Amino acid sequence: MGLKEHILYRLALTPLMLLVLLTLVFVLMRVLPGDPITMLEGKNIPEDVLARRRAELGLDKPLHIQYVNYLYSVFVKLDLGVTALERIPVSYLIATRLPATVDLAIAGSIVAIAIGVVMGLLSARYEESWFPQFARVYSSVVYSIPVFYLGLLLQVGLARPSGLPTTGRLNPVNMVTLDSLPVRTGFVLLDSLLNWRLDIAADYLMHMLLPALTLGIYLSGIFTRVTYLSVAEAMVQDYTRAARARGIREWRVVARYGFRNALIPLLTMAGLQVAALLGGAVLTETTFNWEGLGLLVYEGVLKRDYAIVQGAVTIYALIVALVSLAVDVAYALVDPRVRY
Amino acid sequence: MRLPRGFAEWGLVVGTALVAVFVALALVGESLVGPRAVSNILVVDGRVYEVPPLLPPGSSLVVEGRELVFIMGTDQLGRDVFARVVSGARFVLTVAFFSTAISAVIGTILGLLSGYIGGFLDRVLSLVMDSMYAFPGLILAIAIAALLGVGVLNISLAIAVVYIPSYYRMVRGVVLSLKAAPFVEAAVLAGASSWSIVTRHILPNVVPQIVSLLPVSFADAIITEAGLTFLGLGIEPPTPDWGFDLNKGRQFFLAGYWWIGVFPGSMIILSVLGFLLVGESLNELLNPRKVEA
Repeated sequence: MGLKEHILYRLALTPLMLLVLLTLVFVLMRVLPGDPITMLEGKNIPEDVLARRRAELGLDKPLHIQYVNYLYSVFVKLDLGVTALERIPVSYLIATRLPATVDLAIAGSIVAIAIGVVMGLLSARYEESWFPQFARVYSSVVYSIPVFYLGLLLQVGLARPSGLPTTGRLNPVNMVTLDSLPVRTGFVLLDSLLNWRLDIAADYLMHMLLPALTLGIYLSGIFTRVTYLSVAEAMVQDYTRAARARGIREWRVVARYGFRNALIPLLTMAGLQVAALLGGAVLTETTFNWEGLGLLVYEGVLKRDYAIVQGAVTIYALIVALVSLAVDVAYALVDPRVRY
Repeated sequence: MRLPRGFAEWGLVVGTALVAVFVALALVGESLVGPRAVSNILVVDGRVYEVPPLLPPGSSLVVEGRELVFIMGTDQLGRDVFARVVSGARFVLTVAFFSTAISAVIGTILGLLSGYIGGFLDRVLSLVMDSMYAFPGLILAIAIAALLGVGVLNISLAIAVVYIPSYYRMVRGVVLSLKAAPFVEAAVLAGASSWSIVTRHILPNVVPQIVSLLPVSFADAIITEAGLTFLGLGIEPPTPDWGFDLNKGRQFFLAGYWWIGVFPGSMIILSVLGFLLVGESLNELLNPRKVEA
């Protein structure tokens, strides 16, 4: 199978995966007791109003018809429905919130990989010292810290003394200015740069610093381990011994011969961690009031608005599927040995 | 007796100690600290006293000539933080226990069926499980917990669903590799029924693998539980719970009342670390060849 066929195959699998997840959500929402209307408006609403609202949402039809309608609107009409109370299209909400989560996820990954690679390389370079043990303990402790607690600690420990912003994405004034800028993509950093508003870009980065650190530290343990293990494996190979024998300095051996060996495992791990990244982002966004997709899910849950939860699940599934596809393609580009 | 050596041996010692402490707290903690965990009202000699909120750690209160010490201070509602973190172990560990047990049992059964029967069933189950496995676990748990509502069993179920695929994938893999093993073929030739082949010949070989996964998945369950209760899901006040307390005390923690956040937060870290260390160290000591990434 060539790369093109492989991509097509994976693309074909994505809707199947979506179907499974949406079915799971559907079953959970419809089979379990309670329905959105009584959840929303209390149990004391009059019979006729209840019946009318149920009919509006199609809840009076048999389950299998509801299921088909539900899948039809998601897959064919590409419609994620409207919120229960304000009747705002869920797809609109998601579109406004997604860029913030993408920014945060990218920044968090950069922090995580930077910390992981540095600590992993140091461990491999100073194999005989105390450092690898320290890195190991660090990885375990970081794994054990709940991401929201880490966020709170950074808010107390770093933001309070330094005056860094702890909530939101921009100062209120910049938030308003942003809306009036001529070029809009929805991505704040991109927008402010495209419009030459470096002050807004700086403000955004300041706001992003702590959430990105939180998410990055949370995921850095696993990248430390992966880097260390794969570099350490390379360091005992004949080609690294040959490099040393030729008199190449140790750091160069580690960086050049060892680190290359870690690229593929790092890539794999980055792909695998996307799920953890998105899950961690929900808690990070809640802790820092970062208005992304995660905070939207949380609000949806609080308001018992199933359309939001359902829509977000759909988008998350899509992201996960596309990222794993991208990782597969990246393999083939990074490693000429990989053939599909 | 020699001192432990290296990460794995130290990890096992420290991890086991932590696990022992937390299991003990879960079992008897609540009865040790009494009602101070859930209320700021003290009844001494038939008289009612109200404990002030936000007392710093080490504060003491003299009531009827007796001195009451709050070694971890009191929270925003005047409840004893020490009593809350001690009795909070019960809810968390109960949930972690149930969710791990549910996911291990269901995952194993599905993995056995899927691996042994194969064919269409295997394909469908694998697709379902792989989809769930790839999906962000916490978000799935949030969605399910929101739908199920409060209660120990509901939140356990929400967490269990997330971890079923881990057990399923592992068990299925072992079953597939065992199906062609000579002792299984011999059992087939001897006319053993499918039921007895699966339960007597395959299952015993799967069990050690499941056991090796248990401590780490217990640790994961604790951290997921903390995340859910931090979002206010699955729990009802005034049940003491670390994640929930961190959420409720968040404003005060940020305002400088550090003890309200630090103590519950540390309890989460230490309990997760305990199970994680036990799991990782055991795996490393029992399979020295396998270096897992």
